[in-house]
Amino acid sequence: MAHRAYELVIEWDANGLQSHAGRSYNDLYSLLEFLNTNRFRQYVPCLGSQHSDFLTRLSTWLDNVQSSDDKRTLMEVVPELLFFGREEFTKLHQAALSGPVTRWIIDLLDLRFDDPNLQATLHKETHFHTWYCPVSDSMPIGDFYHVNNLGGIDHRPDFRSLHKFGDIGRVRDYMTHHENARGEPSPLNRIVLLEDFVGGGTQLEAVEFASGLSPDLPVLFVPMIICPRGVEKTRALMGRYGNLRYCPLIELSSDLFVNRNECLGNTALGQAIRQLAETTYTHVVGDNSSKPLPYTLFGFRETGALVVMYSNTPANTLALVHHESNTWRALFPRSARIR
Amino acid sequence: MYRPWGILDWVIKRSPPVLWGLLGCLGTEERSLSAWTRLRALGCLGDYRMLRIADRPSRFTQRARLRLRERMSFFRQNGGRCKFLHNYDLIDATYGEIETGIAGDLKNIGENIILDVTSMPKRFFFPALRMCLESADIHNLLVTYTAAHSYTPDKLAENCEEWAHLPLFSGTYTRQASEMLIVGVGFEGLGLQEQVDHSNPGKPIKLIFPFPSPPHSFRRAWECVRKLQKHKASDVFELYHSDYRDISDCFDRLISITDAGRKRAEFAPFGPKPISVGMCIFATITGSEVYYTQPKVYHPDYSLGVAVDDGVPAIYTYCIRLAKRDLYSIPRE
Amino acid sequence: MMDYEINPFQELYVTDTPDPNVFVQLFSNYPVQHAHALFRPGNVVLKGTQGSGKSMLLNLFRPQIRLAYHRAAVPFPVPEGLASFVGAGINLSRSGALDIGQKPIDRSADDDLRLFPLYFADFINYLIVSDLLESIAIMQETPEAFGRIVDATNLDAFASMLAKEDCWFGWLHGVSNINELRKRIDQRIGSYRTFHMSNIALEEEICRTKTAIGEPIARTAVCLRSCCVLPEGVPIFVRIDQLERLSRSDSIRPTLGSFYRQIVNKALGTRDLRVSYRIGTRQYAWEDNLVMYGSEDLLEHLRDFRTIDLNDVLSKKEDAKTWIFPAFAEDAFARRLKHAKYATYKDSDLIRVVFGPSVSPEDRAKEYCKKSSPEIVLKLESDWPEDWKAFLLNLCSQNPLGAVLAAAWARQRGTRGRPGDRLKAPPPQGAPWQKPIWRKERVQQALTQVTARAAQRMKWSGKKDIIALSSGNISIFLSICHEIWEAFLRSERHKRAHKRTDPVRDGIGGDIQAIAIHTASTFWYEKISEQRNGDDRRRFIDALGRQFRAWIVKDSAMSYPGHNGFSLDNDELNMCTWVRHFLEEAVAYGDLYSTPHTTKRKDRKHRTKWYLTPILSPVFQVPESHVKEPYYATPDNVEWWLSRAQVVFPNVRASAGIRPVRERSTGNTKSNSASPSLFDNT
Repeated sequence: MAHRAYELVIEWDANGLQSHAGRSYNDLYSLLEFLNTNRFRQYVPCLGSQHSDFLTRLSTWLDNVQSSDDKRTLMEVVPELLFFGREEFTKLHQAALSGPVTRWIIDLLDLRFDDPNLQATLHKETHFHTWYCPVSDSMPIGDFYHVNNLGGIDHRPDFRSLHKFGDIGRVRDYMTHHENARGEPSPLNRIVLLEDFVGGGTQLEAVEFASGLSPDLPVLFVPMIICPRGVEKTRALMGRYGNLRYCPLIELSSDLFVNRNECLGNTALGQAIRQLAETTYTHVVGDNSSKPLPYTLFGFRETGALVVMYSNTPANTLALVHHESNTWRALFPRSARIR
Repeated sequence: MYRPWGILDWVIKRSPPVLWGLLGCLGTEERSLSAWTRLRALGCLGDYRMLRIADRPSRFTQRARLRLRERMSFFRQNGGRCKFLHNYDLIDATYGEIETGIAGDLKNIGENIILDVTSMPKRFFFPALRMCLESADIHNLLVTYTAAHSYTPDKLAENCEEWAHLPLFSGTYTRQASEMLIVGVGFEGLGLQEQVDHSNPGKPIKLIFPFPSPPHSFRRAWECVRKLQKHKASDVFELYHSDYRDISDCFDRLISITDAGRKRAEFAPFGPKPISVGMCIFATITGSEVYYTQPKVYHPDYSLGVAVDDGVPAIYTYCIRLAKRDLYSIPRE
Repeated sequence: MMDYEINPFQELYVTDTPDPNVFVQLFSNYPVQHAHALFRPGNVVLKGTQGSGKSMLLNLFRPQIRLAYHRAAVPFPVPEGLASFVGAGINLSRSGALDIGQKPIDRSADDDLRLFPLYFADFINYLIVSDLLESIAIMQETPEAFGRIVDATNLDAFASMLAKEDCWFGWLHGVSNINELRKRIDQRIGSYRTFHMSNIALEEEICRTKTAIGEPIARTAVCLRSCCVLPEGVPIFVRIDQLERLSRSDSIRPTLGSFYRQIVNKALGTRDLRVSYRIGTRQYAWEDNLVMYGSEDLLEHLRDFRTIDLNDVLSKKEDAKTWIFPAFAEDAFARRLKHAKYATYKDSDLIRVVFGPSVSPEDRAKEYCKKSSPEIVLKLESDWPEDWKAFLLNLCSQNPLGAVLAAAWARQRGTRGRPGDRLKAPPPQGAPWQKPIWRKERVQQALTQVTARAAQRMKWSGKKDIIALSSGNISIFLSICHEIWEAFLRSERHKRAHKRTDPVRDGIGGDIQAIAIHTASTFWYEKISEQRNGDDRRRFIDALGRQFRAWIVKDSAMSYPGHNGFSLDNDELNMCTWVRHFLEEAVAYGDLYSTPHTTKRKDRKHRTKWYLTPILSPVFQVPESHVKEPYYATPDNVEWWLSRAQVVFPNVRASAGIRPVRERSTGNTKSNSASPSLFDNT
C-alpha cells in the first residue's frame, strides 16, 4: 500500500501547516525516514515477518485518529521518542564498566593514580573479583560481559529471580568460595547490578535483596537508563543500606515526560500530546480484550515516558505508543512479559 | 589501559599531592569559574592565569558585558586577582600572541598544571594543550571540563569563519592526501555541513557521535548527522559512539579508526569538549591537520548553571600526564 | 528497471571535487564552451558564487581529472586545440599559506610586517612548483592520456638545471635529480609548516633565501621546456583558488591580507608569458584591490588579466534566447539520470518531461482559492459600489486571478485622476486589467495576495519555475532536483511495483514538486548561516524578505509590483562603505543578487538593483520574478534593515577602508559600533 502518512504530509504542506517546532511536515517525514534507516528498523518485537515496517506502522498509527490536528500531533510525537538502539546499549555497557564501575572499585580499594600497580590491580579486581549480574532478565548481561571482554564467572543470575527463588546463604557461599577456571580461589568481593531500564523502580526489590546479603558486601547499582521515580526510590534505598552505591548512565529528567504533572517542559507540543493521550485512551484500550491492559494512559505507574528500546518498549511509556487493541494499532508494539 | 578521570575532588585526592597551577578562561558562563573555585576550596590551587577572550562586537555585546561583570565580581569577591587575567581578541589574536602568552603563563604556574578548557574556545585550548603536551617541564597535567546544567535553545554561536586550521594544527606536510575526515559531531553544523558537502565524494567520513550523553544533546546530535548525510552517499559515513565525557574513550577510538595513526586523517572537532580534547591529543601526537570554522561570537548564555553529578559540581577531570608519564600515547608494534 | 532507492541527485557537489571517476560522468561541458579563454595563455580571473561552476572548471586543470577521462574513454571537454597544457595550483585555505603572519619570524615586529608578504610569496612559489612537479609525474606515468606531451627522459637534467637557477638563492644547491629536487622542495614547505605548529624557529637558511613571487615558477617552466620535458608552446596554467580569503577573511590581519593579495597581483602583473595564472574568486573580492606589491601600479584589465564572471555568463539576459543556463541544466540533469541508469525515453527536454510545464497563473489561482470564498479572496473594502462588488464576485468564481487583477486596477488612479475615480464608473467592458504588459507586471503580485488572503502557501512547480528559482546556479538546480526526487521516491517506495510511477515516462506530480521546492528553499535559507558571517546576513535577509512580503501583499492597488527588490544610488552607496561591503558580501555568497538599474528617474544616476536570490522566494513567500521598478531605497533604509536584523557595525578596519556609517541628517558618526571594549570597567 502507498504510505498514507506521506499523502497526509503532502496535504499538510500544501496548506502551509507547520509543526510545533516550525518545520515543514516534509522535513519532519524525512527525519522519520532517517531515524527509521538508522535506528527504528532494529526494533526487535517487529522483526518477525508478521510485522510491518516502521513507515507502514506509522501510517496505520495515524489512522487511529480522525482529525488532521490529532494526526499531526501523533506524527510529531515520533521525533520526541528517545530510541535507544543496540549500538547505544553496547556503548552504555562499555561506559558502565570504564566509568562508574572502575571508579567504584578504585574507591573501595582506595587506589591512587600514581601507584605503579594501579593498572594491574584494577584489572584483577575488575575481571576476577567483581560479580556482574542483571537486576532482571530483561538486561542482556551476556552482551555486557562480551563487549567488556569479561569472563571467568560462570553464573550471572538475575537478582530478581534470585530474590524470589534463591537462598541468601548459598549466594554468600558462592561468592566467598568462588574459584576460577583453574580451580584456584577467586572470591567475589563485590556485586555490580546492572539494569537496562528502570521506570517506577519495581525491580528495586532485587537491589534491596543484594544490599541485604551483608552490610560488608559492597553493591553498586548501575541502571543504563532510569526515570525520576526510579531515582527517588533508589536514593531512599541508599539511605537504608550504607553498602549500596548508585551510579546511572542516563538519568532522564522530568521535562522528557508527559504525565499528569509534566508535558515536555510545558511546551505546546507536550500539552498537545498529553491532551491526545487523554482523549484517545478509550480507543487505545478498546474492548479490554488485549492483555495486559496498558495500566494507565501514561503507562505503568503513570510514568509518561517516551522511551523505546531496540529490545522492547517499556510499559512506562505512553500507552498510545505501544498498546495494541481492537481499536488501536501501536507504533512500537510492546512485547509484554505478563499476559 | 585505564586513564583516570572523574569528578575533580576525587581525582585530586588520588593524584600526586601537589599544588596545582591553573590555566583557565574566565568567560560569560557561570561554569567558567567552577574549577578555579573548587581548587581554591580544596586548598590545592597554586598560581593561576585566566584568559579573557573578547568576541567580535555583536548584538550580544551588552549582555556579554553584563555577564562578564557578574563573573568578575564573583572572581574578585573570592580572592581572584586581576593581574592574573590576560585578555585576547578571539579572532585577531595571532598564533604568535597565543603561543607567547600561553608559554609565559605556563612558565609562571609551575610544573603541575591543570588546563581548564570549560570556557576556552578551541582556537585557544588546542594550542594550549599542544604546548602542555610538548613541554618536558610539565610533570603532571590534568585537563578539566565543567559540564553545564543546560544550554541555550538558541544558536550557541554565530558568524563562523571559513574552514581553516586551528592554530598550530596545520599538520605535518606530506604530499600524501589524508585518507579520511574524522568529525566530532555536535549540536550545530557551524559551517561543517558546507565542508562535508564539498569534500571528496570518495573520502570516508568518520563521525564520532557523543553517546552516552544527555538526551536533549543526543537528539540534536542525530539531527546534525542527518543534515551532514543529506547530500552525500550514506556509505561514505561511519558512525562511532563515544562517551561525551570520556577523553580516553575517544582517544582509543581514534587509534582504532586510524590503525594507530598509520592512516592519515584530518580532524574536525565540532562536538563536546572532552571529545575535542581527545582529538587534540591525537592530532598533536600524529601531526595531523585539525580544521574548524571558528565562530566570531558566542551566545553569552551559551550554557546556564553547572551540572551536578551525584550532588557535587560536575567538574570532570582527566589525568593526561602523571609523574612525567604520558597516559595518552599511540602503541607502536 | 528503475531503482526506487537511489536518488540520482544525492551527491550535490560531486563535480566541485576531484573524484575523477564520477566527475567524468557528471561534468557538463556547457560552461567550458563559454569559457574558452580559460584554456588560452594569459591570466584569467574566474569569478562566481558557489554553485556557479567555478570549481568545476578549475578542476579541469588537474591531471587526475584528465586521466579519468582517458580511462573512461570519454572525450576531454576542453576543445582539442586547447587541451594540451600542464596544470598546477594551490588551495589557499588548505595549503597553510594563511598561517604566514601568525607567528613572528624575525626579531622585530616591524621587520616581520615588512617581510611576511615575502615569506608568503616564497611559500606560494614552493607549493606551486611542488604541485607542478607532481602534475608532471602523473602525466609521465600515463603519457597517452596527455597526448604524450611530457618526455620524462631528461627529468634529472631538468632538475639539475633548475637547481642552478639563481632565483633559489642556493636553496637547491647540490640537487642533481628529480627525486632530490622534490625532496628538497618538500623539505622547505615542511619547515614552514613545522614552524607554524611548534616552537621551532624557521631555519635561518630559509630566511636568507626567500624567492620573489612567480619567478621560480616561471624558471621551472623555462627549464622544463629547455630540457624538452615539455614542448615549447604547451602552456602552464597555475591555479590559485579562494583568493577572497586574502581580502575578506578574519583569519589573517587585514593589512597582511591586503599585502598578500598584492603579492598575487604582482605575479599577474609581470605578464609573464612563461606561465599563466588562473585565479578563482568570489565576485567583488577581485576589484577592491588591484595594487601590485611594492609599487603604486594597478593591474590593468585586458592587459594583465581577463575576467570570466560565471554568474554573468549563466544569468538571464534581455534576449532570453542567449541564456545558456537552461541547456546547461538540461545536460547536467540528463547526465545524472544516465549515471543512475534511468531509462530515458526522449533525448531532449528531459526536465520538461519529468517536471512538466509550470502551472498557468489562472490555474494556480484557482488552486489557491479552492477552499476560500470570493469575499475572502478579493478582500474588498466595505465602501465599494455594489455593481463592482457583484461584478468582481461573479468574476472571481470563474477566474479568481482575473478578479483580483480587476480589483487592483479599479483601485489605481491611472495616469490622471485620483485613487477611487475608476470605481465611480461601472466596470469597463474591455477588461483593461488584461492588457498584456499591465497584467504581466502584476500576475505574480496578484498570486501572492491571493495566497495571503486564502491562507495558502505559494507553490512552485514545473520546468519554468525550477529554472527561474535556480537563477543560473547549477548547485541550486541540482538541490531542487534532489529534494523533488527524494519526495518522489518517498511517495513511491512502498507502492506495489505495477502501480509505481516512472518519472521519466510519466513525470512527477506538481504537488510533490511544490513541497520539495519549499524544502529546497529552506535548505538554502538555512545554509546562509553556514557560510562566513552568515548569521548576520541571515537575519538581514529575514528582515528584507519580510519587508518585501509586506510590501507586495499590502499593495492592494498593485502600484508597486516590483517591490520585491530595492535600488540604491551608486554614489550614495559608495559613501557608506560598510553597507556596500555588507551587500557585496551577500552577493558574493549568493544570498542576494545585484544588477545595474537603468532608472526611470530624470536624474539618470547610476543605480544598482538588489534582490533576494530567487531560491529564497518560497521561504519568504514572495515572487521570484522581478518586474517594473524596485523600491527606491537609500543607504539609510538599508541601515534600518541592518539594525532591525541586529547587525552590529564592526570596528574600523583600516586597510579595508571600512568606516562606520555617518548619519545622513546629523553628520554624526553612528553609535552603533560596539566599542568600548568588552572588558572595560570589568
